Amino acid sequence: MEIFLDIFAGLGLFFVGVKLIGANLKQLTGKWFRGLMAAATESGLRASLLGLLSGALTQSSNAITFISISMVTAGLVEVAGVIPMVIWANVGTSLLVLVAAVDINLVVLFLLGATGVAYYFDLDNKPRFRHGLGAVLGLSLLFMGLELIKHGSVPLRSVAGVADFLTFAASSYFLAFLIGAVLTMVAQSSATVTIIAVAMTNAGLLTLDQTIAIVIGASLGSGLSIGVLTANLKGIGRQIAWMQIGVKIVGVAIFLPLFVLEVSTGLPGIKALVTSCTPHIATQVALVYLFLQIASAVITMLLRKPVTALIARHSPPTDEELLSQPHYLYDEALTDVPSALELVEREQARAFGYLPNLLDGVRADATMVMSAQALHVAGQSLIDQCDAFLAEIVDQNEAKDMLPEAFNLQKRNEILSGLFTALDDYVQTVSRIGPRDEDDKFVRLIFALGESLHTILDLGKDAFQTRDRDDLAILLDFTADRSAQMDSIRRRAMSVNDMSPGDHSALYTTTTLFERILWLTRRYGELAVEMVFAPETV
Amino acid sequence: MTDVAQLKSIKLAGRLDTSRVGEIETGFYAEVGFIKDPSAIAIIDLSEVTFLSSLGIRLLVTAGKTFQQRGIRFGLVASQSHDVMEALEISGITGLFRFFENEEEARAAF
Repeated sequence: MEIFLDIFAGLGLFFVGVKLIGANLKQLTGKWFRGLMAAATESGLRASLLGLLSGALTQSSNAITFISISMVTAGLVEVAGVIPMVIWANVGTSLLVLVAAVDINLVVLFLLGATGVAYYFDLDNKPRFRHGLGAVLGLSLLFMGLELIKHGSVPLRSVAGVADFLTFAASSYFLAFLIGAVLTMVAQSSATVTIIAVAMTNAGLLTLDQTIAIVIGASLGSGLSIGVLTANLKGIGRQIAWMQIGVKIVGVAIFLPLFVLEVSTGLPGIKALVTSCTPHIATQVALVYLFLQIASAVITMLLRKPVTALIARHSPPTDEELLSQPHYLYDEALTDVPSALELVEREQARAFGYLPNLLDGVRADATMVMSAQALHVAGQSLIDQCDAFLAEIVDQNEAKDMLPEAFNLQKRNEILSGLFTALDDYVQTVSRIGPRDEDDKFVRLIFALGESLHTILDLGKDAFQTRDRDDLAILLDFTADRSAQMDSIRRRAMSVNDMSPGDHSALYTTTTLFERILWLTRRYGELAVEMVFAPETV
Repeated sequence: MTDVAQLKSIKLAGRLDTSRVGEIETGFYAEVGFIKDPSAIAIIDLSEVTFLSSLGIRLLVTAGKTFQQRGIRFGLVASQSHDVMEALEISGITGLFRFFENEEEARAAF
């Protein structure tokens, strides 16, 4: 029992360590990494190097895949630009596997002690050290966990049943391959499974042949787990996921036949290669993992152009992704502040233009082309990108003369975000009313509110895109205070006896949201007028 | 379009939903475009309109804006439909147009 608990506790420490390393390194590298990614993806070599680095830091090719998906979906980088990074991140994950194969027990004990002392002196409360210290603690726990697994695995060989199972497993490489695949799908990391396998091989619990089969199986499992995790993705997101799955499949397709040929015919293959490199069995396993990643990366890199074109044809960008991509924001524009501000204003106007269509699902006279949810996500993505762009403008020295205009656009960004939220609430409230007879007085009132709201937002869309003085003036006229009018509608509704309490509540909410949307639109319009009517501004 | 003295009236009728607006907008804007004399009184008669969609309201706003830019006095003859009037009031168009019961009232008011 104690043996199993040693291994169980070791696994626990190992997993805590992996989590701590990933979480803290992501915090350390977040903003810096995103900036680096945008710059690196302009060149294949730089993107590949960044992939190596990020894979080594995060120890998760899945994490890099998902970061790439989010950045491409947000329109910050191109699919072709991130592909080398996604491919080489797999090779980066080999670093920990190689380190784990080396006996660094004394270093780990020192690290753990030093980290504990640093925590005792509250260094973790200082922002400068917090995440670095967390990452070192994670690394120490990870290796302590591996030591416990090794410690528990040595006597395991003599436990009745385990020896029988190992003999049985040794007779079937397919079983070892399957175990590698299944464990990786559970652990979500082929590097994790390989490191545990390295520890068990070190303890003499697994043979080199078995471990190689596990490592190849782990690669397949990693591809399958990405497939499961990204099954609901469409468009560009799916393109990147498919590329990552392709990398894993290529590795298995090369190494599995080579390995089968070697063990069945005795011809030199991967096993012969790693045993010629080092006599140390744990390092041999780590090298198998490294060579597998390198071979997959090199082959996929050579094939990446036709493969990228193929997957782009089979998974074209979704409407939501296209709407999320900025049309006007680009980094080069940041050098000229007035132009950069003008571009933000245009991008915001484009996002505002999504608002009328948010109502399509609940209007009396409209056909829904795209879901309100998709429009909201796309609009919010544009707002976030405008926000980041504005932050970069404001940080520049050259922007000091145009700070009022920059703050004006920042305020508009906040209002725009509020408008998307308020319209989302409005659509949800009206959707909950459910199908009714079109002659129902309450429904007719809700329809009138919807058509009016659509008119006003449509007027806003035109006014902000054309920046026409008359259109802006009409918009301000249409969005004047309506509290008295809405109060009157509510009072009239209260006097109608056949309205249910649910309808009263829905009417109260819709009229309140109507007022809020109008107020926000007016405020946005007033800020637009400030800029359009001020002659010295953009 | 009827032309009595200075009063130019454009009559709309029925359900002004998206498809109907698509059918009539070219003719409607042409009629609006013909009214150029600043001394004219332009009236859009909605008395027989039974439903007004967002696009229908936009049609009226564009016409109102054109009249405003040309310095033409303009107004709407109200619909007999409560729903149409409610949609117009809620939209805020009442700030752009003057409302009348009929053409005679409009002529007297201008």
